[in-house]
Amino acid sequence: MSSEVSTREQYVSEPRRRQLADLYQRYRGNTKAVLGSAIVAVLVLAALLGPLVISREAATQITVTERFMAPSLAHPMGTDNLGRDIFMRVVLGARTSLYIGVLSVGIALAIGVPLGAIAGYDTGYIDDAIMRVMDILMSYPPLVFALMITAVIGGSLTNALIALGIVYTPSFARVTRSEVVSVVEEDFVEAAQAIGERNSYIVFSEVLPNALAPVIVQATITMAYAILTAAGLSFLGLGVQPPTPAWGLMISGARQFLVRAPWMALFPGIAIAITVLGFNLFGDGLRDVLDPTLKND
Amino acid sequence: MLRRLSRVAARRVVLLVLSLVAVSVITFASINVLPGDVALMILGQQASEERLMLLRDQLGLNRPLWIRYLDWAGSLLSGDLGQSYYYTASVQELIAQRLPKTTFLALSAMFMAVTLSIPLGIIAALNENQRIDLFASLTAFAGLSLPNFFWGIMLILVFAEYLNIFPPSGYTSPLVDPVSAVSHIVLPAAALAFGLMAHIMRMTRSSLLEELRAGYIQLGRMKGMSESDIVYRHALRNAFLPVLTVIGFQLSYLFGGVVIIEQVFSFPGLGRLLFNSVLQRDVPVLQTVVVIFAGITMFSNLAVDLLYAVFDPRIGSGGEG
Repeated sequence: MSSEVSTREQYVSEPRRRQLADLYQRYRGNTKAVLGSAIVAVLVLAALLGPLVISREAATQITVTERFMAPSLAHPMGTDNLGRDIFMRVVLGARTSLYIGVLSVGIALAIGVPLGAIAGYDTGYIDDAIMRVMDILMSYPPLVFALMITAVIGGSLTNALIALGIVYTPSFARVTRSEVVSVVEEDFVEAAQAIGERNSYIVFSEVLPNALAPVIVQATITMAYAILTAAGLSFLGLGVQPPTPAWGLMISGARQFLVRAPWMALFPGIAIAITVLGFNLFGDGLRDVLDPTLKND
Repeated sequence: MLRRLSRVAARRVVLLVLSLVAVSVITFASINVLPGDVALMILGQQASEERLMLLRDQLGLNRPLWIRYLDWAGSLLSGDLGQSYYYTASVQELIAQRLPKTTFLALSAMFMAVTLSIPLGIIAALNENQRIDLFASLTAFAGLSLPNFFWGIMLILVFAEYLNIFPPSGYTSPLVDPVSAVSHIVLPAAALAFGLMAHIMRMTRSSLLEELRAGYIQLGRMKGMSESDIVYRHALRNAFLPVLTVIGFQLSYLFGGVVIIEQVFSFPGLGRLLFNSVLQRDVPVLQTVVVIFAGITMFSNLAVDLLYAVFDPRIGSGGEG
């Protein structure tokens, strides 16, 4: 009995190890994935270490004598209209951006993936009902939907990420559904059904793990969109509220002083662009890495 | 063929109407059921209970929810949408003033994006993996990654403040003064177009590449057709459908972008109206404009699907377009 189990484990783990090595090989060979993950890694580091290195006081301290200073050695990105160091605020902004991105995508994943899995497995009227609701939700432009929600419950960081989480739910439901529909055709699902496994067990333990690759890609790319839309909300004054350092907010504040101190808008703008670029590249590269049969567009 | 098409169209239109009803319900529910007291938001925290009651009464907020919904849905259908809480104008007047301006902005942005990105996509595909292809792909990623408001501000800084070529804000009707209208629309449209370009360009490129590898193209080459005939008369025509779909999907991004860009450029359109209605808790304007934005997205998706059905001979018997 015990020998049988151990051979089975070897049988399972050997191809698995080779698969992982294979994935790593493809990842190494994919410029987009490497570059994207490097950018994301730097961001995560900035988000984790930034608040330890830079005190919140230093970043929010108003120094009237140091207003509107152009970039220099002391202030690599210059100072703003209140004499605050822009570099420090840009670094601290990474945490805000990632926080919004991770949580809103997390909400969308938590709702969208189970709904999509159920819809894909059911293919009856439950499928229809779920997907029609998703279609309707999808017809709201994300920013418009978020504006509507913040109009009612007020503009704040938490409300913005809840609104974004709801808006991005349909895209995960769709991706999961279409993947589940094709996985359901596989033999092992039929086998599970034949031995009488419960539907919920089949969907969440057998089918879903085999349908996750496109969901991961979608999550990475949605991070980019969520961060971008959240920055837009903050820019409009309906997302993150001052004095929290957030890039969208910094650009919004820079508008009045555009000609006098263009660096006030420039550096937070570049920070958003690099962040979004990082997630876009990572997601795009990941798609190639996880699914080598897809053509590289 | 035509009969099948009209049947598909009829089914889709019915679905559209049902979806619009659903959107109106969701919008109404989100705005009116979620915690948050409109009267309190309008009058502020210090307002006395009597004044709050009076205002709720005036606004009809004391009536049951479903009656308020039916009232509003009926007014949507009749076109008489009532008074704005904030402006001294009716909701339909406000929308009639602003919708054409936003349409002009959105169409200009789309025009700019399409005329730049499709040729760029073709050039990239024909020079696959060469320097120009790489450049196009980098431009596309930049367009995807730069927030439109940042891009808009930079355009104002360079073209309005430093170079003084275009005005930094405002709007002129193209019917009144076409030259001034164009000079006012260039910067906001460009700020929106940059984000649109990326997807259209990348789809043009990948779709054209796929067509160029298809069997019928190889056959054409073997039969000695000229390369330009192959690319422009055959491959491009078939490559266009996926591009059309992408353009359709981009509209939802476009109308989200309009809200921000109109704010950046002080453009008196529907997006600004929406934003102000959020700030002022102007519920009649807010819920109607949200439904209009969602409705426009639905209509354009339907239009894309029908165009797809018209142009693509492979879509057919299934009925699901």
